[in-house]
Amino acid sequence: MISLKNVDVFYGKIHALRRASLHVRRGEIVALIGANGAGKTTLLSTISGLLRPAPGGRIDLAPATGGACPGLRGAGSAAKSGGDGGAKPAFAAERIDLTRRSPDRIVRLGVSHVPEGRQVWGPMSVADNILLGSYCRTGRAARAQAAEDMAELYRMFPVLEERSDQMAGTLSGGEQQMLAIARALMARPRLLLLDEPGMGLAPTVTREIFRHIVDLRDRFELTVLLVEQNARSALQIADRGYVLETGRIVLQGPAEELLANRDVQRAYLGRDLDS
Amino acid sequence: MDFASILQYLISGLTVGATYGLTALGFTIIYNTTGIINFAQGEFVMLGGMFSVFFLNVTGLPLPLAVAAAVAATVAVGAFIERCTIRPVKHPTLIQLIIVTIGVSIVIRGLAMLVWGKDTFALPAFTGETPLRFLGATILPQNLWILGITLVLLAALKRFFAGTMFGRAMLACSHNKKAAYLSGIDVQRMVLFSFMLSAFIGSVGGAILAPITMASYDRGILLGLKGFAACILGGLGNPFGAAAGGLILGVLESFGAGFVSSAYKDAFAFLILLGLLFVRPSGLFGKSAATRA
Repeated sequence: MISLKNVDVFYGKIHALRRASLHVRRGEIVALIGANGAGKTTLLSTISGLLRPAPGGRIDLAPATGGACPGLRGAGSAAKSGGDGGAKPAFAAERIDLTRRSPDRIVRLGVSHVPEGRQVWGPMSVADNILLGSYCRTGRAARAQAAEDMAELYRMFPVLEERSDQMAGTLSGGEQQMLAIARALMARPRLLLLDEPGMGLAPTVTREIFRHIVDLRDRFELTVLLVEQNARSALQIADRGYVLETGRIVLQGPAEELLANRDVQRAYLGRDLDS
Repeated sequence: MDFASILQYLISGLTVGATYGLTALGFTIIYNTTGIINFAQGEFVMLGGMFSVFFLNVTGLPLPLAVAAAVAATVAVGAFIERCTIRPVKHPTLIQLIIVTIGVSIVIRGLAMLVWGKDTFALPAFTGETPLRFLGATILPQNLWILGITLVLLAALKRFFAGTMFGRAMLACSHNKKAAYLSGIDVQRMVLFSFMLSAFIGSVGGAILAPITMASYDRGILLGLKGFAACILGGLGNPFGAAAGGLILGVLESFGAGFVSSAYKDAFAFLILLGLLFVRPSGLFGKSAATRA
């Protein structure tokens, strides 16, 4: 679905992401774990276009199924393999380079980013928040479909329907997280980027959110790239994982392997191996 | 002071206040989408009046068409300002952009003076000059036009922001720009549109006020300042507060002029503003300033 190759990001002189390469295959849930400041949010923001990577790196998105996207200039040359871990990405045709595109164009290409801290529009109603998620879907047929999606999301998150007239800022943290996810899904993404969906939530609420993520992947045929500090819950629902340390990807593999890895356990799962 | 003159002051205060309110609304719309205080907002008002006079006298359009053309021309100027002076700035800070708008306002004023001269021009009232009597006070038909059009504009804006996808998207930009980007909203386009909408509102205000106060190239400075004062009075960023602030400012000014001296008319507005800032720095209807990053 997406592959990053040698992506570097700088904040001024700070080298926040160092030659990061990763890929996510269609239908996968991939977890990106790491400590505070390791560059997880930077990586997601670079994919969604909020940050510009330094020249040289590539971020390639698979085109929508059913052939090339008309009107979109693809990446041009035929794809090379993602190159890391020997795993070939599940696509090979024209790919779309995201590195020079604006965030709103990237949303239109099918990548939605649920940012850290939820970022709902607090003074606006819950219904307006969800509705605006479908801003990029224009045309009568697309609007009708968006209305159907909204009904479907209300079925999944009944609490949002109950509170649809309330201001989004008055919702609890967990409800705001569901709202932020629902808003992102209204754009009908193929790839969903989730940044710390469990942040600041009670463990039971976090578990509920994570259950929803798996459920949503199946229902909306999503591919998910998940950033999480709570490594255990992220790896439990993920297929594969990457470990990020000071801007570098230091480890990668199937989720179970990472869960069993002693270094990961010591650093991110809070297991005291010496006792 | 008898009742009739109080009523009279109130009416003229509300009329002028409506224009302040419209100017303030223009400030608010641009501020909300961009964080910029557009100091060229007063020039939109001036252009609304001057273009109306120009289209009426020089091109000979009938009055309603002349006003419509003036508004359209000012909207084009608003779009031009955004495209040619705001957007091209590389890595701008807010303060730089604000200074750009000050420069733009000076240029516009200078051009207006070169083209139209320093004279004051009259625009005929929309529907006659026969005053209406109301409980001892006189109301010009133009006063009713001003109040009526302001109310219609406010209602239309409310519908636009609450009832259309585009309006909601603009609001969303003002509440959280990052989330707007991530929801596929073209923020650049919203910024362009906010300048056009502000120019629209400002020029309508200028055109409807011109029959009462006349139009001249330097009308914009003071109107801009008053509109900005109205913004602060109502709480920066709050459209309802901006409109209300304008009306309050207009009425206070009118009473000050009536009861004390019209020589100090402009001073009252700013004295009240200063006083309020000491007591309530976030304005009458503003929430705490800290919530807006």
